[in-house]
Amino acid sequence: MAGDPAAFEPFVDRFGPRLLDFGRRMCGHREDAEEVLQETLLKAYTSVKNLREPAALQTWVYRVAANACLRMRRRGKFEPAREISLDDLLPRPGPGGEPPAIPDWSDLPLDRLLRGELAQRLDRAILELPEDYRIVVLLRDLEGFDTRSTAEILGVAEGLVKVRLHRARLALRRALESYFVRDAKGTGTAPGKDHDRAR
Amino acid sequence: MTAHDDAMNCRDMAEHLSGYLDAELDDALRRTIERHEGRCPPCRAFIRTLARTVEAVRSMPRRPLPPALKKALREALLNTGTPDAQ
Repeated sequence: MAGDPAAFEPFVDRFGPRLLDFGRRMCGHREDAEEVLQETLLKAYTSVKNLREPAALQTWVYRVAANACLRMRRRGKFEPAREISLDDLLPRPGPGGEPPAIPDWSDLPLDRLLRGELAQRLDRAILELPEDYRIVVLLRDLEGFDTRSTAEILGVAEGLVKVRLHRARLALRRALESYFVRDAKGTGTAPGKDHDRAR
Repeated sequence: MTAHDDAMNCRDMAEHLSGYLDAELDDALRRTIERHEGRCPPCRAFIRTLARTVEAVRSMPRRPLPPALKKALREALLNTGTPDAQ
């Protein structure tokens, strides 16, 4: 690609939509995401010829994007680092020690989970994660990097990636579950009806 | 969740669930979780809904790049110049 403006087009087609989406979910604002995208693509375009291992292009591009996102966040409102406690995300036994009632909505089709209020709930839950957790779950589960590549992109230990990924996933699960728990209390759409409609 | 006369209780098991879903655990730990899951309905529901959550994130739709943004990127590139020219 280096030195060839025509090659910029396929590069944008390959990385543009993914980086824009990644930036939007990291930053929470379209304008910031566009700035991240532009900074990343231009830096990649002007520096890629110096890349020692072309096979590592994708990891390198996301390292640039991740750094741009984290810089963007720090430039905005101050957000102190927060940790997520595992115990806060696990169901608790009832007052008499009885097992917790856990709604099993796992048979809900994905297209139901990815539209309407549930999709909004998932989007919001991702944005509400502490940024150190949000960036890990986006790299691992949305962008599909493995643990090792994610650790390399972020410059942290693989063990830390695993811990943050797990807690981020648990937090997102709980955010989706709250929809069904709320429903079970009769304050929203009945989950049974949703399941029936979806089947 | 609940305590079991199992090799692993619900709390201990919960720590390993992402590794379990990502097939990153050793065989012994994986089998312990499978046995626990078979006996504990709350944990079974918990694991299944966690797996569904991960699937949902992996399947989130992507929006195409707006044509105006693509055009702006191309113009920014032309203003920046080519790498060889720098």
